[in-house]
Amino acid sequence: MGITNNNRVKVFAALLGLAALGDHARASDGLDLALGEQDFFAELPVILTATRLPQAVADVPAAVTVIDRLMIEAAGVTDIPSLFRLVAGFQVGHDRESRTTVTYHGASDQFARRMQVLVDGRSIYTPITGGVDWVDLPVSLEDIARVEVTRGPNGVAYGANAFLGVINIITFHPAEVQGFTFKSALGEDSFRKGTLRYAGNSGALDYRITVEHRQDSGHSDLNWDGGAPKQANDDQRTSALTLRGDYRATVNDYLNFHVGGSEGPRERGYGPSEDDPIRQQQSHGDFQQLRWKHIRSSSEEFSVQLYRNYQLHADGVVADIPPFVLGLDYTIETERYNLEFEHLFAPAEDWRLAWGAEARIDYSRAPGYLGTPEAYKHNLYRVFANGEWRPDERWTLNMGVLLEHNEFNGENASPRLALNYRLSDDHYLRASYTEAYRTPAVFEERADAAVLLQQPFAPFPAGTVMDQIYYSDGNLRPEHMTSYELGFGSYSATHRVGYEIKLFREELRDVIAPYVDPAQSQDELLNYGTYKFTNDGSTTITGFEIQGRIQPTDTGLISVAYSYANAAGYMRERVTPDQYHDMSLATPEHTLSLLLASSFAGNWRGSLGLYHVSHFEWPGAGDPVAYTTADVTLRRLYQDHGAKGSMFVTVRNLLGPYYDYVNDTFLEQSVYFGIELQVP
Amino acid sequence: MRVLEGWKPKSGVGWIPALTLLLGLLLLPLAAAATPLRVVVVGGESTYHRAVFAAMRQVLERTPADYELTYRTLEQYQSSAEPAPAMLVSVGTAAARALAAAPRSAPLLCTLLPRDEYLQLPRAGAAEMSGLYIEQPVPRYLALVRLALPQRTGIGAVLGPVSSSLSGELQTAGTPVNTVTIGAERELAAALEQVGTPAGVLLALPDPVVVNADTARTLILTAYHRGIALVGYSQALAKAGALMAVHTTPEQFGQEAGEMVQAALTAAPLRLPPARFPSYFTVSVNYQVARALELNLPPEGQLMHQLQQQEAAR
Repeated sequence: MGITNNNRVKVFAALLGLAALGDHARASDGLDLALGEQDFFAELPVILTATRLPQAVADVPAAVTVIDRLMIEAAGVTDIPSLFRLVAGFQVGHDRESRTTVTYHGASDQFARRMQVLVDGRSIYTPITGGVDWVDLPVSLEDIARVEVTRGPNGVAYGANAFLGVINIITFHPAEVQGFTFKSALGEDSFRKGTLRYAGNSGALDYRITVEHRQDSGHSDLNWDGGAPKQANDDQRTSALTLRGDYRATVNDYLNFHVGGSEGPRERGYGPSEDDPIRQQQSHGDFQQLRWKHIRSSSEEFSVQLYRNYQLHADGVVADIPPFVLGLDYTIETERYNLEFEHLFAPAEDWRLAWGAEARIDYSRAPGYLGTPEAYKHNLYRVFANGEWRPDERWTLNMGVLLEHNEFNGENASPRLALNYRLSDDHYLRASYTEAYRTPAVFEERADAAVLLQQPFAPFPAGTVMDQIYYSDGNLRPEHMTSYELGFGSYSATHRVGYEIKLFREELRDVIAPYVDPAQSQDELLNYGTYKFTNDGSTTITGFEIQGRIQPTDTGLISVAYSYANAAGYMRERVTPDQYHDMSLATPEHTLSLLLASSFAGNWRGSLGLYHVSHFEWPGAGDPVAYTTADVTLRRLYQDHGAKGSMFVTVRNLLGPYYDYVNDTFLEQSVYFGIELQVP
Repeated sequence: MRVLEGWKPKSGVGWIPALTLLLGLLLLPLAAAATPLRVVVVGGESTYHRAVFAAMRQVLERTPADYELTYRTLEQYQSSAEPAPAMLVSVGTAAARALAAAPRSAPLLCTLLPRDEYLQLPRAGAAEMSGLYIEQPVPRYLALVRLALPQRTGIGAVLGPVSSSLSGELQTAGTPVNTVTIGAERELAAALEQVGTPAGVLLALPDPVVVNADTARTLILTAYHRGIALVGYSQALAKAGALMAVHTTPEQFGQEAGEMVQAALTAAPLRLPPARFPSYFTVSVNYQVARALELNLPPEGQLMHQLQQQEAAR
């Protein structure tokens, strides 16, 4: 290694505040080729750690779907949420104003609040609405190595909000993607996307830097003004930058840092109206994450992680509707600080234990939604323990509990118990029982959204409430879910076949319902009713699911996901008179996806994704949704002088326009061309 | 305890002979200091060098002969003007090279060095020389694989500049090993693709280009992701994520070196046993990895004893 190179690393490390680089970067390229006793007795970094050695599929206490890079490439998607259509029982909705929502077994509105979403262990749901802003996410699709989706509650491992499921996005370790990667795609609807990544290594530091720009003109409104097609007002443009470094501080200590940010305008507004004009919302998000991990052996490790997420949506409307000048502030600013500790170890040969603690502060500032210019601070503390006991080759018992304290609900405890039994080397049975809670989102607990007088209107001063839109009295209880599962599965690494059939029953209780109260609230001048929140809903969802994967070759794949779900329940919609939403409509009976990929002669690869969702309605959106759609990708690979590349064409929504959320946001057939180049 | 020449206690009864004997016993250490069998162990500062010495001392303390065993770092030994010892023991390659190159009258036992290093040592001194190699013999790895993973066929090994000398032995072994030799670390990933049979076995043999702190990740993860059982040569490898390793601990090296020294010094005329691979060894299994690979391996001790029995029977 050259001196300049070494110096560069030191400067880089110093800039990042890392400890001085040790001299453990060994002279590997020719300086010391002799074998010495250090080769036999010196410690090596523990590579297969407890976290890298996942439980065998047959011993896992929950249904898990893994979306790997092969599936990502084959699916030909242009946005991250569309990937989740490959997961049994998942629905994806593209809403107005480039909002996207992802849920499991329906029962969700535009802010899917019941899902925990992690990127490299960092929780990214926004505290104010509880949903995830997928468009802003400073993660490039190209950096995602795999996504692990837990279908079902997993509060024990991931805390409250891991209520319906957990999406765990894992990005590439820089060592896995060394060199330059460039990918660009162009398509209809002004779709432009370019990603440039460099991943390198200097001694004990592996790093990667990714810049990405993506933009599109969004969806079409085919129901506008009597059916004349029209571009929906949802153009978006995002520029994102992420930097990840993995530094081996000592032979078994690792420092991992990850920083990133994204920003860009989003088109908003429904049309030429004074109170919802077409305008640009400015979005900005950034994060910083630092983790220290100490590995003692393949069964024991400690980690401490600190991160901060920040997000700002600057948006507001001043509507001049004579004789009033009204103000609506849609600005949302959130900031999260999270500190966590985790210890994994094996107290006995047949036991594995993970326990840890977490403290979180969320700041939420949304004057137009919370009725105060101040940021609202919310603290949360958790301790958890998860044990796996394997008394013999056939039985595995997983048990865990999470205790959470938060300012809204005080303490609650989420337990889980799962018993797995191996019928043979390849087949297994699983029975599990889980309880989970969902803490109310800040907006549900603290909503105070109103149209205010922007300018005084005698005798009313500026700031007078014209119309109260949302209001929450607080004191909401957490939503509660009890889930029972029976699973039968088969997994054979040698035959590259795996499938699982899961029978489930999910009982959601104390569902937090936004309902209309037509009564005049105390201060408002006009009264069009007010949305309020109460624990008045209950849904029971039963059904079965099949998730299967056959991979006959390294590049050939058949992935199937099917879910049959039957929901029954209610959710308050209105008072005086009482009205209830029928929750049986909020979950589709059938959700199916099929992904086929194959390689052909002459370095060609082709893939087909087929997706079907039967009739349902997203609560709050109100439009019946049912669709069948398909995406096709054809790819030609090139390889020369160590560089690899491909050219591809993807046709999305091959079967014509449909909507998956609301009937003025259509996904139309569109063609994309792209190129990709990797130079090591 | 062997009584020193010149001491001929009178037989008979009475307090004078008894007192003489008692006095003699009390004076013995002093007297012995004058003519002990001086063995000088020369090595480095590492804990494993010291551990070899400590284990040698334990072995020699248990024997009836009287030894004076001293440890010197190479610098200490070279700068001192002590009289020539009865025997020299080197621990590690650096000490072996220095001692072998210098004129000496004492026999030299070189421990903890690779066989190739031993064979290339200069033979400057007139006195004899022997070695206790640091590596395991190739058949031992293969016997362990047959014993622990009888259902797995398809054994591969990536060799480097140092281990390439084993390629002939590996290819003609009872269980032939598919090998590929690389010259630099960056060739490792491609080489692993070439020799790593999915659900087979990969031998990690000592070579600084193939196995080091920087290549461990590629080596271990590639093997793991392809369901390959990685069998290594050090405890660190098993801990890092190889399925298992057969290796000799510093204590076992010390034990065997002590036994070789004792055998040499009790032979008349003084004669060192021939150079050899270590006979004592340990099997370390990473049961977490075994479980992840869905392998049910017997206890480490059982594997070790069965291997020892097999070797003894041969």
